[in-house]
Amino acid sequence: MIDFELTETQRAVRDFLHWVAEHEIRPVALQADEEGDVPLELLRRLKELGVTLDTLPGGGASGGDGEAPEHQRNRLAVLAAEELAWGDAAVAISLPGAGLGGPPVQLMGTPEQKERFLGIFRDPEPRWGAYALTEPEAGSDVAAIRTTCRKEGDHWVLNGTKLFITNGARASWNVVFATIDPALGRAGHRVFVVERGTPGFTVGRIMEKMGLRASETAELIFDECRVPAENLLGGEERYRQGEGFRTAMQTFDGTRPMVAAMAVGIGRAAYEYTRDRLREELTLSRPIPRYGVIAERLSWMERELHAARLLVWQAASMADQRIPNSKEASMAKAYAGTVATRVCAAAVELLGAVGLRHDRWVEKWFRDIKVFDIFEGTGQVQRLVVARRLFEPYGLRV
Amino acid sequence: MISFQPSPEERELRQLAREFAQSRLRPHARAAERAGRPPEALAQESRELGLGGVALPEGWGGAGLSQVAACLVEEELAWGDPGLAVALGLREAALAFVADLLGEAPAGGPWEGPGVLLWPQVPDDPLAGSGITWTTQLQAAPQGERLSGSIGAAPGAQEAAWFLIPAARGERVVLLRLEGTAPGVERRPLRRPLGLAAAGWAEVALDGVAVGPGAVVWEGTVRDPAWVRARERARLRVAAQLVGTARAALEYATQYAAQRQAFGQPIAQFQGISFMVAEMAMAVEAARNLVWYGAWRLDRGALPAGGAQALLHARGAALEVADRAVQVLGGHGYMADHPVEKWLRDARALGVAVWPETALEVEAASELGLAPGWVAGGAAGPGPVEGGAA
Amino acid sequence: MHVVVCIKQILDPEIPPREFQVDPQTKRAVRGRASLVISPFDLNALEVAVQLKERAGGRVTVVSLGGEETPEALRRALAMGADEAVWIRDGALEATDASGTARCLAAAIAKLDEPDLVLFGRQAGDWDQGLVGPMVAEALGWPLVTNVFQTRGENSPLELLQQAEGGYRVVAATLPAAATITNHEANVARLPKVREIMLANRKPITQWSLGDLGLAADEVAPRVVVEALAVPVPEGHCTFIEGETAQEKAQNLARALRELKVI
Repeated sequence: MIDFELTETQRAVRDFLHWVAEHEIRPVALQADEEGDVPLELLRRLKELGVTLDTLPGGGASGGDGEAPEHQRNRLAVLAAEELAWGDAAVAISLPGAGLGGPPVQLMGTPEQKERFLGIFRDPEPRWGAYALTEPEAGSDVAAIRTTCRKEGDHWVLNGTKLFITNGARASWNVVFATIDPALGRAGHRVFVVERGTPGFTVGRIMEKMGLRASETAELIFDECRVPAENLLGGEERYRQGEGFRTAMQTFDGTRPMVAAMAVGIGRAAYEYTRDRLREELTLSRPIPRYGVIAERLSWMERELHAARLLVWQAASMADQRIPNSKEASMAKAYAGTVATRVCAAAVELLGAVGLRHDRWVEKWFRDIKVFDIFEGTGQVQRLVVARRLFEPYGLRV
Repeated sequence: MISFQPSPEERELRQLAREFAQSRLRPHARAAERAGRPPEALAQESRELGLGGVALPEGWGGAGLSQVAACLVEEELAWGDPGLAVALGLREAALAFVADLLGEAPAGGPWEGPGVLLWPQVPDDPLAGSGITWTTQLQAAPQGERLSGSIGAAPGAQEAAWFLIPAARGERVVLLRLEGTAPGVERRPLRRPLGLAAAGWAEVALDGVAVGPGAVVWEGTVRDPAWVRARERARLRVAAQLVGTARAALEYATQYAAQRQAFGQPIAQFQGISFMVAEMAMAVEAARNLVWYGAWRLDRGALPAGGAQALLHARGAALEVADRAVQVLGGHGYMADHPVEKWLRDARALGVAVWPETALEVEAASELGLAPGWVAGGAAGPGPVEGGAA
Repeated sequence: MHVVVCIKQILDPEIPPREFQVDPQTKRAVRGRASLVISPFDLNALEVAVQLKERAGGRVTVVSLGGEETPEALRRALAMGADEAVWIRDGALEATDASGTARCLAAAIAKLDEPDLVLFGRQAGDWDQGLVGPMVAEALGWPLVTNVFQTRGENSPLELLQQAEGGYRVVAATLPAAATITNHEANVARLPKVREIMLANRKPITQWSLGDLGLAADEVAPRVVVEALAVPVPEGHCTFIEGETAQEKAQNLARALRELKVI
């Protein structure tokens, strides 16, 4: 039945993470943004508290075998993501854990690989995994990656560059997508786990960004990088038709609602801050010409964020209920990305010139939110996915 | 538990409404628009099926179900034809309003025959957020109160046997029931309104209409939970109808884009078109979710329920989606051969003139804790809603 | 008067043709995104049953053999005016065919309380075989009238109006009897009222397994084996018929049609 009630568990998770966001994360957020780094003590503390944003394998109807017909993982994940991003999105994506590297290992790894790569996160010290797909010349066009791999004895040799890799430098390992032959397109993709210290693998630049400045965004360079054959995810038998590409895309199926939830969290932070400042600063005891505009703009912000949140919940609940949710997941990301960006822009405008001050937060959220319409599938790619679903019944592939 | 899947019972009701909409409303849409009323046989059948009063208490002749179920049905009926959906539901909408005020057992009345709730709110309303300024005034007089004023355009006013009209009595608000034929009531039918013509529009002028004690159905303040609930339900009804209108336009445009060829391929292959359709689909989905959320809250007695936000959002979304649908059809979309131009006019009419609450943004802002403090009578209307995550 | 109606759920025949697919391995239609609907002629049969009840008094029992989604169909039938519903459900019935279905239905009908008339849609909207009705009648040993669209009267013998070329026949049937129902403007399935949908949810659905019917799994094993199932691929050929005059073209056309063995 149609229901928007949070269960006790959901409420508890949300409330706990909100507390963490408010009391542990917010106090260091502005400084972390200025310095371009999240303090390691904070990350240790968060790991101690059990705070994690570990992404979930695949979305939609494909679940593990022998699981209960319906579970809560995705709904909990989006509730968690919204609160942590409300705290600070850069901190949220810097949390120790497998990160986006998790789903490929879960989806494709052999049991031995899963233990070898995911087992390290049991270590009390913070560790990271990362996901390296994007290249300087290949963003939305995933099929066009140019990092090559060739088999040499019991190793594979990788050559190429990866760009915009979150936690790429600090990661204990990166999931790296390479191709045996660019001309083969998706069919040529192979997926490797490249561990830190592998000969031929170096970290290039750490990029300076508009927002999410505290998070590490790295350039990775593979120059005759020799990766052991045991690090080919899934082993050679796995790579039938487009398996590598499918995995890349399936990763995003699970994460799209979470990323959308983070966008909602940032938007909500901007909206609440603006609403609270305006409430304080405007006595409203006499008519003010701008009141109608304020009322219209703030109510618009709240309902658009809520609409975005409900789309996120819809995608997440369908994933938990094993109902195919590819269209809804893309809707959630596209809508949240667009709407949250406009909300943050409106927040700066409503506060006027002081909205540009670093200590007034909204300028940071304006910088942070923009990438949410870009990474993990741009808003345009999301619209394309939605359009494909809409026109499929008519036999059209748009 | 957070779920967006209707229950089996809700699905059956929705299915029934969809079949009715497809087989009875769609074929009669244009004729009813020209005639300015639904065919009598159709009105009869609609009454018998009971699709207009899904959430109306059983004592009032309805099915006594949830507002969520009612919104599912309203969406389908409007999907069939917005004009007929509004026309066929006018009486139940009026009864629903008074039922929220009076409770399960009917009182006041008589309630037989066609009736309609009029909402004579001043468009630029200085009291918005904590009161309402009406275009009608109740005046005390030696022989008793009298009601005067006018309503420029009201759906259903043409055929109504009785009217429900709110009026201010000092600081309080009263809901009055007037006979359509009472002395002083003058109705001028409006032909060819922009949209929803099947609903039988009229201009209503009230010239010193006598208001006897029997005419007062309810009296209270705008802060009474009953009054808030009635308004929330009315908003959600129209919001659901807007979602249905938008969905009709979306589906039609999608099909058209899949089939229409230009430059050697279906126009859906052009991203300018496919992205537009994708955004239309997102707008419909988002609007519907806000309606469901508000209806769900209303069913659980939470006030305010989010009806203002749902209606504001749906008004904008329906207009945008219907407009884009005409755009997808290009020149053909502009012609009466296709239904999209009608749905665009209907969407505009629904958003503006059916449940014509103005300054809903101010209502919504009050709910978020930002009420206009300068209004006489001071502080805010209904009060803040919970933070977004329910 | 106790009327029994047997109904079946089929894949919605209104889905776009290109969405209709068959699995060549299992030799069945693929469910895909299609919803399940009550087979159209079965709806006409329900309407005929309810009209008969309204005229002659008595009750209507609806019976269906099927999987998880059967209750939805039964509830719709209850909302239209059926009084009781029976759901025959058993894993062994997944693979059965018309003969197995008929055997089950006959056993179920025999368990019901003195049925007077059992109605079937004249053929199912998916396989269009029209076998189950006649097979059940045979199993029960009851007279069968096919292509009926309406009933008249209130007792035995009951008048059954049967579609015929150029008009219709009135057949007087001694009850108990069976009939297969075809569509007609007199039996367009009614839309249930909202109230009736709500009331239908309170009416009980009785569930019977093969065991309850006294049948063993091998008794309902399919006796017809589907060798192959495929969606025909439309092919088009276009030949221009030549000729100087209309007469010549006509002659050439006739000759071509003769060669194609069309005429």
